[in-house]
Amino acid sequence: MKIFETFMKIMRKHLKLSLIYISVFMVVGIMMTKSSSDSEDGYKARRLRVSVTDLDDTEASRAVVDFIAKNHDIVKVSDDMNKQLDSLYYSKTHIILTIENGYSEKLEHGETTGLFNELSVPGTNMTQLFDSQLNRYIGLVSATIAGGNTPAEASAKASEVLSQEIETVMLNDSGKGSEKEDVQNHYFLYLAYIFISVLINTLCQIHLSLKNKDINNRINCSGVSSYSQLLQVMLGTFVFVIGVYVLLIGAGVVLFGGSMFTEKGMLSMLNAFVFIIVVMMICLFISSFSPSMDVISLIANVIGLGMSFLCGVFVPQQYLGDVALSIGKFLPVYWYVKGCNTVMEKEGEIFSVSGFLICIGVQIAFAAAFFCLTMLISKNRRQTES
Amino acid sequence: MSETVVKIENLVKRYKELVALDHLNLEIKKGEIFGLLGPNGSGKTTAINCLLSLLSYDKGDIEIFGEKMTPTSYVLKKRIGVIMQNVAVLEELTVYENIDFFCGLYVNDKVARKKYVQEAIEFTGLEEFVKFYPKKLSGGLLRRLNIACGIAHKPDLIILDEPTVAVDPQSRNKILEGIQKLNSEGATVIYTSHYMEEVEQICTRIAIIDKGHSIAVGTKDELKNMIHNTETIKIEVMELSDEALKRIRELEYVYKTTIENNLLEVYCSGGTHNLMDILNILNDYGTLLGRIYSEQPTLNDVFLEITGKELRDTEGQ
Repeated sequence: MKIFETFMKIMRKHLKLSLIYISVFMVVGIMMTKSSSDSEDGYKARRLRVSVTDLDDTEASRAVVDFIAKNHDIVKVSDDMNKQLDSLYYSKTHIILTIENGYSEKLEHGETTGLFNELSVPGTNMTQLFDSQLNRYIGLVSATIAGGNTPAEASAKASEVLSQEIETVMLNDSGKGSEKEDVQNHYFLYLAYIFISVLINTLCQIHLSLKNKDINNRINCSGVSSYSQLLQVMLGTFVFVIGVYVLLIGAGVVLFGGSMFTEKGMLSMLNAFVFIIVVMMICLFISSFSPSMDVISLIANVIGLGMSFLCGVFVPQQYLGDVALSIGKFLPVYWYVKGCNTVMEKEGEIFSVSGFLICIGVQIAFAAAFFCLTMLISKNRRQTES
Repeated sequence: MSETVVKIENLVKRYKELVALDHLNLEIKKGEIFGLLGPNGSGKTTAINCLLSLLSYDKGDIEIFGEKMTPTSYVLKKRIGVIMQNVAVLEELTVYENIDFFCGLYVNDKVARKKYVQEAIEFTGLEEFVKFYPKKLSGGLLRRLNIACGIAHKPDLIILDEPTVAVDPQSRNKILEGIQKLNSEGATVIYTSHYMEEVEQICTRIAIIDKGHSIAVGTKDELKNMIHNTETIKIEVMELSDEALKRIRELEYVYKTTIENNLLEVYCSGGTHNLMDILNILNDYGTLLGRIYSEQPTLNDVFLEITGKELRDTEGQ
């Protein structure tokens, strides 16, 4: 098992770059998961900093101030116009509202204009949010007064109605599943790029070292049979591939917990396993050309980024052009991504066992094709060399 | 009669139209340092690769230790150590790890292997460099590592294919001494080179190869005896009279003379005290003399006389 042992030693020497890829990927994964778990707590209304000056000073105007204070933070600003503008500019306050004199009287007469003087940064969503809340309040107060109530009574009723909380449910883009599931799907999608980068950068380098013509000749001159050589190299390859798979899927289990062991999670893991085997075959295929060690990183980037962009790893497949999709269909990553989307029912895909099996089947076919091509090239090379 | 270790009979290897080995015959006995001498492209490395079953061949038979050598002769292969022309070590492993790896392809027992690796390190003088990676080693040290990787498992037959190419003289001497030591410890050695001085220095028997064919085999003295020339005398002369030159040409062992730029070259075949005879003649005619050389024939002369071309090329000089 000396070749296997040495395979592992060489692997350790080439792991540095792969560990960088994996570390960056994990950090991004953790950040994505953290952000999704934060936002999954539910909808929270935004509180603005509002400065209110009550010139009317009636029961109704004080009720407005109370209503605003319930929904926003009241801050004090100077009466000086320049200072008010400064505080808006530096976002010390978002809205400066003055309740005009005669507010209560105007409401009583059914007037809803000229009640306030508002100073804010125009066109911002904060202004729109505040205006919409205030308009709803005034609308309710006005309607209640029209029903025979005094401005004070109407203000109290409006405050009561608007203080009722409405349950808010966050929905994702396709209207199905949680945001965490979305992140999980992205995690599996990005695995395609990581698998390609890590495997090509490490596995190809090990194979090229051991398959170097002079080293290979030396090994062939030894008492180790060709069969044993092949077996030991393949064992090393499988150990590495399974190691990478377990590490990255393990990280997924840590990040997503039990959702990795649901039906969707298990199918995603199966899809990823088949895909890593395809990538392994691609690595063997690349190694059979015996490229220079220096170009391996370049090849990893071209294949990793190229396939990822063409097949919908970074950009959803539904946003890709017809040409890109047509090309993508001839690449294994496309079928992996499609498999992920089918399992998670993303990007318009609906889960069906047959649809998923087609994705898996096409990937296996790619793996078989790369294996056959590798065998063919290796055989031709052996014949040429002898 | 000593045991035959390697027997090559009528070996033919073609690369399409090119005949790399043309009915090559060799027989190497146990305990020999057998030199394969020939210019670049003469077929030395092809012969070695066929011998090791790294290359298939079109015709002929190869036997090692009395058994037919095939790509699956793993038992035979375990008795052979190979040091190829190119340094074949793994860049990712240290000196120690490299030797251990290649030794491990032959020796499974860890304790024995550790001892063998240590001995190979000491043998090649790499004690100070065991933790170095090949990239950090000089050309000479790399060659020594290459040798250590090939001999660590203590093979009965060691094949060295031009192990001293691009090596400094100090390392070259160390390598040659090492080969002689391995031989004295019982290993049969096949040594290919286009450096005739090296072959003359260490080989007990030599085969000269040209165009894939063995053109002469024997000890260095046997090879030199195959040719007409036994001595070449070169004398710087100020003025040489026709009469003196005539008398020199009349000497029975002189078969050729040339004079160019006051340098008289006298080619002798046989004879004794040749230099003294010629100097006496020149003295008789009062010829003023400059530098005087007497050269014994080299393997290059053997190659030149047999093939009509120089053995040494620019790299070999």
